[in-house]
Amino acid sequence: MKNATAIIADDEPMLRKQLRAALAQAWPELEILAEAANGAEAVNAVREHRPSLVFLDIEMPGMNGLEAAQAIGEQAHVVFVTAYDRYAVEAFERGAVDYVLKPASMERLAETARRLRARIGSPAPALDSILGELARRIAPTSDHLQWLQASLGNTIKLINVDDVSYFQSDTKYTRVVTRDGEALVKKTLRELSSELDPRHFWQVHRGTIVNIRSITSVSSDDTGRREITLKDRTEKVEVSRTFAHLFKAS
Amino acid sequence: MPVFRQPGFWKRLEARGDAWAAKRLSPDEFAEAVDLDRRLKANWVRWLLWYFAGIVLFTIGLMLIKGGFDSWPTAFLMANLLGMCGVVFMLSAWYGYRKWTGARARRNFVLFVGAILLGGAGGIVGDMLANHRPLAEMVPEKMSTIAGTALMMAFVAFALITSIANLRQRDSNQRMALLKGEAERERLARQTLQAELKLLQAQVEPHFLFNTLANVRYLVQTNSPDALAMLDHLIAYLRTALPEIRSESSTLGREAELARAYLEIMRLRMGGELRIEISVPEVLARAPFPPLMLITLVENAIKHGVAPLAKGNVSISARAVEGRIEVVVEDDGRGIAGAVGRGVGLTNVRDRLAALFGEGARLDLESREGGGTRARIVVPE
Repeated sequence: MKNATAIIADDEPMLRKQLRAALAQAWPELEILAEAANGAEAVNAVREHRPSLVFLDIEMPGMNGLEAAQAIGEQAHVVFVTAYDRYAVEAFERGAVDYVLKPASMERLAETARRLRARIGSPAPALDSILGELARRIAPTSDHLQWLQASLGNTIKLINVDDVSYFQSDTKYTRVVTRDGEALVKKTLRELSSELDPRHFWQVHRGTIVNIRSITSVSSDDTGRREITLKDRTEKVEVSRTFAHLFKAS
Repeated sequence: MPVFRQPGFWKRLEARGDAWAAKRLSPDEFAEAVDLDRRLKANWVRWLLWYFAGIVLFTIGLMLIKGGFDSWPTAFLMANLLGMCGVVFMLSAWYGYRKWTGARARRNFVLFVGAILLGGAGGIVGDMLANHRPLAEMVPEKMSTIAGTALMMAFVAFALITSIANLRQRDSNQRMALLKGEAERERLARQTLQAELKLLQAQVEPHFLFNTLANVRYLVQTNSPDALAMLDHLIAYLRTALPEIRSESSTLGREAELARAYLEIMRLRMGGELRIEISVPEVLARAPFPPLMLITLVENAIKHGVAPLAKGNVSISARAVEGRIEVVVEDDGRGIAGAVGRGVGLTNVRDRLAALFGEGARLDLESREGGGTRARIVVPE
C-alpha cells in the first residue's frame, strides 16, 4: 500500500503550520502534499494532487469547509478541523465523521490518526446527508431575507427590509423605496417575493410589493379602486383588482 | 303554525344577523353594534316611551303649522315618518361616522340634497296628478317656498349629522392613537428582551477563543516572542468582554479597547497582514455607548471584508456631530457585494439600537463598487 497523503486547509497560516507539525509527530509517514487558505483552494488542490485525506477547517472565508466538502465529495476522505462547537461535534459523532479539534492535543490527534489509518483503504464515505444538517447548525440564519444589497450610483448600501416602504419592479431589477429615498436591487420582484417574509410583505400589484408595517391607510374611490398611503411617503401605491381581497372593505 | 312561531326561529334569525354583521363590519364597528344592541335590549320600554313622547309632540307641532295638515291621523303618520328618518340619520351619524366625514361626506351631501329635491318634485307631481290640477296652477312662489324649506331642512339636518360624525371621528382617532402608542411601547419592550437574549447567545462564541488558543499553542511551541503579545491581547479582550455580557451600558472607550484587543489578536493570527487605526477623542471615550455593537461591526469587517483577501486595513473613528455620536468602522476589504443576506449579527445590532433609542439612532452600511465597506452607528449623545 502506498503512503497516505493529505492536504491541509485553514485560513490561518499559523494553524496550518501547527497542524502540520502535530501531524508530523502523530503520524510521521503521512505526506502533506499541499496547503490551502480557503475552500476553493482546497477543492483545486484535491483535484490536482489526489490525496487520500483532506483536513478541512470549517470556518473559512468565501467557500467554507462544509461547501468544500460537498465539492470534494468522494475524491478524498474528509477530516473536519474545528474549534470547539458542541453542535458540530455532536453531529460529527452521530454521523461517524472524522474530525480534529483545535487546539489539538497530541493524544487526541494520535487516536484520530490510528482511526484514519484503518479507514484509508476503503472508499471515502458520502457525506451529503450530514453536511446539510451541519450547515444548519453551524451557520444559523433567519428564514427570510433581512438585508438587501441595493446600489445607488456606484455605492452599494445594505438596507434592512424593515426600513423598506415598498418594492416596485423596474425592468430587470427592482426599485426599493425607503423613507430616505430609493435605490436599485439586482433581483426581480418575483425572486424577492419568494425570499421576503410573507407576514410583512404583501404583493398588491403585479409590479409592487408593500411592507404592510409602513401602511398608514387604504382608501377606495367610487369605482372600487384601492390606494395605499404610506408612512413618510407622499405618493400612493395602487392595489390591483387581483389583490384587492387582501384589504377587506373598511 | 306560522314560521316565526316555530321554536328558536327568532334566535336563529338573530344569530344569522350577527354573523352577517360580523362579516360586513370591522371589529371595532362590530363591537359598537353589539354595545348598541345590548343597550336597546336592556331598556327597550324606556326607549319606546321616549320615542312616542317625541312623536306626539311632533304631531302637535305639525297640526299647529298654519296651512299644514288637516287631520290628526295624517299628521301622526307624517311625524312617524320624519321621526324614523331622524332616528336612522342620528344612528348613522353616531355609529357610521366614517361615512359622514371627509370626501365621503361631500358625496353623501350631494346625494342627500338631490334626494330631497327629487322628493319635493315628486310630491308636486303627485299632488298635480291626484287633484287633476294643471302645472300652471302651481304658483311659482309656492314652489320656491317648498324648495327653500326643503333645502334649509337638508342643510340643518346635514350640519347636525356631520358635526356628530366629526366629533365621533376625532374621538376615535384619539383612541386609535392611544392604542397605537401602547402597542408600540409593548413591541419595543418585547424587542429589547429578544435582543438581549440574542446578544447572550451570540456572545458565547467559543470559536474565537479556541482558535486564538490554538494560535497561542503554536507560538509557545515554536518559542515565538509573539506568544506573550498574543496572550496579553487575549487577556485584555476577555477582561473587557466577559463583564460586558450582562451590563446594559458601557462607554465608547471600553468598546474601542475591546475592538482594539480583538483586532490585535486578529493581526497576529493573520500573520501581520492587518493594519489597524483607532481614533476616539478623549471626550467621547467617556461617553456612554451600548455594549458589544462596535465589536460586531469590527468582526464583520474582518470576516466579510479583510479575511477573504487575507490582508487589509480596518479603521475605527468616532466624532460628535450635532449632539450625536457617530462611530465609523471602515475597511478596504472585499465589500458587501459578495456576502451577507440573512446574517443575525447586524440585525441584532439594529434591533438593539431601535429598542434603546427608537428613531434617535441609526445604522448604515455601504460599499464602494470596487470593495471596501463603511459601517456607521449614530446614537444620541
